[in-house]
Amino acid sequence: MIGLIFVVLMLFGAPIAIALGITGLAGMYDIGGTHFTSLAPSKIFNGLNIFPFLAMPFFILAGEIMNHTGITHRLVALSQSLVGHFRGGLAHSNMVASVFFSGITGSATADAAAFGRTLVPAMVKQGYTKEYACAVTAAGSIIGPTIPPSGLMVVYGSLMGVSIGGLFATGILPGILVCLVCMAIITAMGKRKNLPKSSQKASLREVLGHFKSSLLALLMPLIILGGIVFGVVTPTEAASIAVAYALIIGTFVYRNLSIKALYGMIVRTSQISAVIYLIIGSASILGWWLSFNQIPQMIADTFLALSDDPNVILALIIVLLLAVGMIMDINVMLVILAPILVPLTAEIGMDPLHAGIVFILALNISLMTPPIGACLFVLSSVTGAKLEGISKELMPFLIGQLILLFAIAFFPDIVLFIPRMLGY
Amino acid sequence: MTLPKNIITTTKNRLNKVNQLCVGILTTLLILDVWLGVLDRYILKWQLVWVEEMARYIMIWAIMMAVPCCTAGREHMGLEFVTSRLPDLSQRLIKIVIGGITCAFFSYIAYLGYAFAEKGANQLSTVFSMPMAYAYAAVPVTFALSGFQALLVLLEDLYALKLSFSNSSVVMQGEL
Repeated sequence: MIGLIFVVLMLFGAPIAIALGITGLAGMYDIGGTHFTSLAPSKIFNGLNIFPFLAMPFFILAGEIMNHTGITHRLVALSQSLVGHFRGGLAHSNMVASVFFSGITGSATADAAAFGRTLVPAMVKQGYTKEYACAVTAAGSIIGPTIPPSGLMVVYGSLMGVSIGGLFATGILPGILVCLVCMAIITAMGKRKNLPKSSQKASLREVLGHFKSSLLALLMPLIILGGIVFGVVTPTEAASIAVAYALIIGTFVYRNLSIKALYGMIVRTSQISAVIYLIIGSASILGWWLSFNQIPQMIADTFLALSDDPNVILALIIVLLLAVGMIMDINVMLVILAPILVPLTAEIGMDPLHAGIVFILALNISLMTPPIGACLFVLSSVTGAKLEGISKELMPFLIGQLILLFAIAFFPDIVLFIPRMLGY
Repeated sequence: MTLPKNIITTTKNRLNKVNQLCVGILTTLLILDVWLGVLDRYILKWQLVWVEEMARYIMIWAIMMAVPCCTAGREHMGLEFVTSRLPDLSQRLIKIVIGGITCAFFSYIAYLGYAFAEKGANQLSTVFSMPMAYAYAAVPVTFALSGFQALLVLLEDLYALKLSFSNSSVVMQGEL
């Protein structure tokens, strides 16, 4: 019955946070009437009273400021000078730019929106179909939140008590692998799809010129990651340093940052964070009800009863994440599903960082699975391309990324050697 | 635009502007507080123990104060793949029902949050012994504001629905 309330509210388009909160309240009322519902405000407050959460708005703000300085164009120009001369050059550039861009933003939808406005029109102009350009952008947009800094990793690490620095170190390689897999798919399909070749091969001098003009942007992730991964600063401190760095560059180097623009970015950052944190706060009410009814334990027992082979259980976890991710917001999944599934990964002997990266990559992939992939919606609304068309063109990328996800899940050494090298 | 709709939208927008200003000030304070913490830890070495606790509470106030802004701007995400396939009138009616539920949810949490904040008067924060009521008050204040903004959004939708009814009856009369 309680689950039905949630499903009905979601189907009727209620804001996710409201659907979660009301379902949680109904569950609390069902157990102990108003005596229990009075606990709801403390659940919301405690759900947010976590210091590492601070890192997320700061990373968003640093990204907003860097974007405002016009860094997107510089990074795209650099990517194009590196890979633009191949067949499907702009599609390859889109992927490489996603890697460069990932150090600045930590959100897939932000990447999709930024590239949807800049790279997709450029690709269409060169002869790519709008749907293919959007599919490439959607496939590349999950690189951002996989390579650190990543808002998703901050929330995951904060909620599950896993080292955010460790997650950041673990995420670097899978992010680059996603890029390489997508580039391989573009290459493989290039001739059949007759993808255009864009520019002539850039000379070393041109590449160095673009590199120089993007250097300040490329240094930012190095400062952030270097600080966190080597344990010099906490993620929150690093994020605040990133804001200071972006402000200094915007004010003194590119000189295009006004107080008015900054105020707008600060308010927008808080609002973006508020949407996510309200979901986390409301999900905390529902999470309490789930724990009270020992539902996480019941689900864990069901999984363990299905098989005693850790690989089968891991595969089931991934399938569940992907299936739920097709219709559910990833922040909700983090707050509701992570406390259920992550202890299960510990029971089958998975390294917490490995479990974290599998979880995060699966959630990121779910951002672009139809019917409700957030990145697909963003791209469709920004470019006007049809959702069905983008989904069709996206299929090869999706299959490639799913194979990569399972490879990372079953061969942990692929992703764990960097964090191990750094002592995590 | 006719008068009542104008009043509703103007009230919503003005309140939102003040609200955004509060969010801007709080977030700026938050940034300054964390910067001070970084400077203190690596350069000044004053060992300011309160910066982290202060940052946590300012963050909660800053982010939660942004919730009513999102409500006013209809930014809370929901799924539209079912409702978007329905006829226009059904979509509008569902939107109004969901708007009412949203308003009721925010208001109920604000009501519960008042008692929660009152309880906090007797609790002190660990580092600078501030009554926790000041931190807990973020819940009732921001949810009450969100409830009010949700009410204004609901009134806007109701008014738009009424307007579309009166327009369609004018068209029908014209056809007759």
